[in-house]
Amino acid sequence: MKKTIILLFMCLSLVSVGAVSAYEGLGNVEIHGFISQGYIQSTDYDYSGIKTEDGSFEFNEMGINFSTTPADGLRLGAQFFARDMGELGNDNIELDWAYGDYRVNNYLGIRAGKVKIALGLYNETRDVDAVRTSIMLPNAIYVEQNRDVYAGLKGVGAYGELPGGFSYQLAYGVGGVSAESNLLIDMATIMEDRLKTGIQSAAAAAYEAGALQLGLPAAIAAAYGQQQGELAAAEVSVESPSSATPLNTQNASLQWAPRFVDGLRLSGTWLFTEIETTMNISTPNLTLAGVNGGNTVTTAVNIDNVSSIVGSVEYTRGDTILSAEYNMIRVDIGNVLINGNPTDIATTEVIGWAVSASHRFTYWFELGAYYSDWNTNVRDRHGKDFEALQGNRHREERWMRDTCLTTRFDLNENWIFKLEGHYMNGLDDVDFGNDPDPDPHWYLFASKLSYSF
Amino acid sequence: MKKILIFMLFFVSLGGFFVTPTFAKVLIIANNSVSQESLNKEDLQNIFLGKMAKWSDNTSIYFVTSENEVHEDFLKTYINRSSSQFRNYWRKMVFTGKGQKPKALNSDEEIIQFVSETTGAIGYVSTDAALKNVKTITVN
Repeated sequence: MKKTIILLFMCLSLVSVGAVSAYEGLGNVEIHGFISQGYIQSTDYDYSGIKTEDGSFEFNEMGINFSTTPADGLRLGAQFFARDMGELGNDNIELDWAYGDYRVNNYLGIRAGKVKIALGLYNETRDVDAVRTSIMLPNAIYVEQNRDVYAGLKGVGAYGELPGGFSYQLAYGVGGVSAESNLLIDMATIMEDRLKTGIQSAAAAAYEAGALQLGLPAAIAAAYGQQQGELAAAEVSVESPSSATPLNTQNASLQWAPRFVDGLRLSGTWLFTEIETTMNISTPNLTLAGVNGGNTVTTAVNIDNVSSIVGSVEYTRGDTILSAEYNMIRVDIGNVLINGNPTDIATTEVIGWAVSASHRFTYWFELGAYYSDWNTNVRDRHGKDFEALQGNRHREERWMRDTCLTTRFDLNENWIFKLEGHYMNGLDDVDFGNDPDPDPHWYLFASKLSYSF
Repeated sequence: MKKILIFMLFFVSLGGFFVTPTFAKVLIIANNSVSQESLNKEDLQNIFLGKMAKWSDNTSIYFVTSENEVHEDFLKTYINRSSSQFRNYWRKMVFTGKGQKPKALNSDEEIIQFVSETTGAIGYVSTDAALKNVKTITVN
């Protein structure tokens, strides 16, 4: 809290310097910053870890950066950042980026330090409200709960411009992650589903065979097996990670702005990272059926590969911007040791896509819209397998489809006010409590006031 | 016949959508140290978007923008961006650490003075500005 107040005080004291667009009072050190405060409310349930049903002001971000050019071609800078999104951020200050940048020539520049990860068209600027039309970016591409994984990496990088309108960015180092990342929570759910399915069928077969050996009729043995399988599956649980450590991370981006169509930009970006986690996994006691278990183990779960590929196209014509993006996240988990038995959790693929349009009508008014479609498991796209498992599960938890209409009002060069509405179809990342029949169709409203300099 | 008319109308409207009328009321000027006499539009875009940082002899480029009415003409004619899009672009650069906010001066006279005194500098002024100790750059 104290740190947040310091950051806020720094921002406000710089704002009080006057109606300047930047502060350049420390030699050639430039200082820029942004601060925004929003309000978010939904018609049903809480969304994305925020108490949206009651309405919430826990919806803000702020940042301040310092940069200087001590020598020709060399630039040094750092940005501090804090945000609050319900359970996420809580206004804790973090080092957003801090690196040295040396431009060798037009084809090659070198960076070292903590750099932003290039993913899709807008990941690098996802925290800066002032640079886009909407308040919330399409969740199918820019998952807020995964920001820790996608925000930045510590290491080295290269970038440059190539002939023909191509530009590239490469980075290698150690990424970021937290145990609260949605990616890991989703992985725990998927692991649990797969363990339940496996144990249910193994237990059902074992108990059915045992019943047949005792001389019970086949139909009764099958029903008994089925019942015992369901009971066994109900005892399986995989808790969300208690810890998570990022390892090797690689990032690459290639953009092409073809000469023959002014305003067209094509982009392909790729991120690869390894994450080491620890999870609590509980399995049932099935000794009678010849299946080991009956205890809870805390086990290391190494995610060998989280790779994200985003393909994007953006077309700018005058005051109109159109864009489309496709996102594919693939997660590979190696064998997990459960009660000494290597258990293959295999691979999961998550996909999302979004299309958006915005138009600036006057200096002060911009209107935009987007549609975003997010599916948390490409193997179970319609959630039928998920719903078939025991518990208060609904197939709509597998997706989130968001139709957004947004407005932006530039009060002046520094102040921006935004207002937007979302029609949501889905229950992913929605807290519907114990509601046995949650309505997957609901509305979300957000407003935000931002200042940047 | 009706379908043909609709088809033609569609293509005429597409033509209007993709062809950019250019009304250059802007002169591109550079410091006399700059060896290049001309630039293509793509290079000029890359310079003012901070992507091209070196001249062909690998000396550094210093560009300056204008805060007067010539700014909008320059952006529309050569950079294919409105002033709000240009401002947003540089906000992105500033808040990701990829660049510092471009230097902006109020008048043609100030821009001419800055460009004439800064090795490797490039800027733009209105066509009726009185040029002194700078060279003009042709845009292909």
